[in-house]
Amino acid sequence: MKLDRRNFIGSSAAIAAALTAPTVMASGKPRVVVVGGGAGGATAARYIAKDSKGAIDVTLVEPTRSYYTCFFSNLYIGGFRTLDSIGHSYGNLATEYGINVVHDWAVGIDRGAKTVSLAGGSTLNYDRLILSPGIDFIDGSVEGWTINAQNKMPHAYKAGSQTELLKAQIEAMPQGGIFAMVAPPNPYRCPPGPYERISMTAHLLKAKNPTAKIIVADPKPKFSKMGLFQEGWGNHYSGMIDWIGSEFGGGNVSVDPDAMTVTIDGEVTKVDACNVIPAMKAGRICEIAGITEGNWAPVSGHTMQSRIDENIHVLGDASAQGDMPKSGYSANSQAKVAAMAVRGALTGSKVFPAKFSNTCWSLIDTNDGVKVGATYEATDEKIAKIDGFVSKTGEAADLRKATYEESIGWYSGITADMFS
Amino acid sequence: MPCHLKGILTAIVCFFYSGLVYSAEIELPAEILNIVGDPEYGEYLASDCKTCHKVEGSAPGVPSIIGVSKRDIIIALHEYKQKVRKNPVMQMMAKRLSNEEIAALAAYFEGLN
Ligand SMILES: Cc1cc2nc3c(=O)[nH]c(=O)nc-3n(C[C@H](O)[C@H](O)[C@H](O)COP(=O)(O)OP(=O)(O)OC[C@H]3O[C@@H](n4cnc5c(N)ncnc54)[C@H](O)[C@@H]3O)c2cc1C
Repeated sequence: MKLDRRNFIGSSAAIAAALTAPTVMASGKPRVVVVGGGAGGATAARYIAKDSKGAIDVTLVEPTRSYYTCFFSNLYIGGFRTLDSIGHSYGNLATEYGINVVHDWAVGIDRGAKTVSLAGGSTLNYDRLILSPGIDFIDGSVEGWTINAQNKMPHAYKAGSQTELLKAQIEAMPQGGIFAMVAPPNPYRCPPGPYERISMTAHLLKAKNPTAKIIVADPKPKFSKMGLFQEGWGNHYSGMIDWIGSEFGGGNVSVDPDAMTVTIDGEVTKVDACNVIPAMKAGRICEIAGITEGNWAPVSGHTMQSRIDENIHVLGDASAQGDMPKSGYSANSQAKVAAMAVRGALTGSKVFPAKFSNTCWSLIDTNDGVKVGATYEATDEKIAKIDGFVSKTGEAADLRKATYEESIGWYSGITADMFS
Repeated sequence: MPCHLKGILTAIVCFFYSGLVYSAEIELPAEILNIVGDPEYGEYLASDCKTCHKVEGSAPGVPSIIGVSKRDIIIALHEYKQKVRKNPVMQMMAKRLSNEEIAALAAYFEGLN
């Protein structure tokens, strides 16, 4: 064929179009797209690919090459873990299970056409879509703080560079300096997370900066494992931590990142490091998909299917499901129920009644671990708590040490269950 | 019989705590031990175990449950269910399992050995 200019332009435009928007070809196999490669998404992708043994095409969309777990990121701040030890790659999901791992952002969802469009310009077709994008922050929820200020006042509530930054700022505090935390209102990811962070910050400061002070401005009157944390703070960090709950104006707070001040109930304090954890909502892609009500995406507990679109399952922090806390363990548990439901719908495999569980371990100081856990079942209305337990105050040191060691085993187990 | 009434060694094993060491603290009737479990259902139920227990290798703090005999798994889970073994996570997980579900789990895990 003679290549005339017109032909050339035509074909290169066609190639360019194919490169920027390569709609995945129908392979005949049912297709599942998973958005978000965290605790919910990585687990769901892995279980669907593993258990369907090639009968389902699984694509995982995740922008980051390394997933830094928020779980144990507080232990990194405390000096109990390295940052490397909480980073995980997606290589095994591709090589072991044939998952198509696409490092990109999902930016649009067309529920009618059943397509996901990516920031890079491509489009993916799905028969079932799983959204597990975690959380985003609610603009304006802490007066004076925006995402532009996250370098001066890090949230460190999505792990990685933010966590490194917060740790570096705590370490750089002058002797006797002040660390402040603005704690988030309910519901938010990891109910004990802010208080484990306070414990780990105190642990770090106690060794290097023992006269430093910690102030927590909290919009809540009480918090997860409160008795256990307060007992532990008294035992290990006496006089260091001042927790100001909502009854004492802890919810009436604003910050000035340039001046490095925090104003709590009218009283201005100059601080040396400040961790602002804003109010949260479902990862933005849920809103874009049009499946949110209020800040979260409501789902059926039987299958984790969106109550608005049955071709979409929402997992983890982004979902409004009922009684489960927003935790990595919960997201992992929900992912297995969704994976079973998706396989059942697409390949006719057996579907058993949904069962869920959760346990959240927290470290207060060296070898002083505590935990809270519960089991759950699906009712038509929600995921409902069946039964639970929580560590007790005054427990023996060897039991607390065993609890901490158990959390190390759990971390190793859950990350293997997501990525190995 | 509760742990603390047994010999000191067993008590330590029971207390520290989730180790699937066969301690035969309870007598299970043959009809429970002999239930034929559905391994497919067991595989689904076992996904709950795998959040903490690794399938390959082991980790400190959470013992491996691979390579444990079917009988020992059944007995251990019933011991947790009856609160003879002390770990609260395992007591909670075992509490909601029926005899058939325990048999299903044991059938699945036996298949991995
Ligand atoms: C300090 C801290 C401590 C914690 N400790 C614990 C703990 O000890 N135990 C526990 O169980 N939980 C803990 N958690 C909670 C846990 O991290 C979360 O609940 C869990 O990660 C939720 O899983 P997920 O799948 O919903 O979201 P994530 O794990 O956050 O995963 C979401 C993923 O989606 C990706 N994503 C977002 N939007 C898009 C998009 N548009 N396109 C493509 N990808 C997208 C993100 O990059 C991210 O990787 C802790 C959290 C924090 C902050």
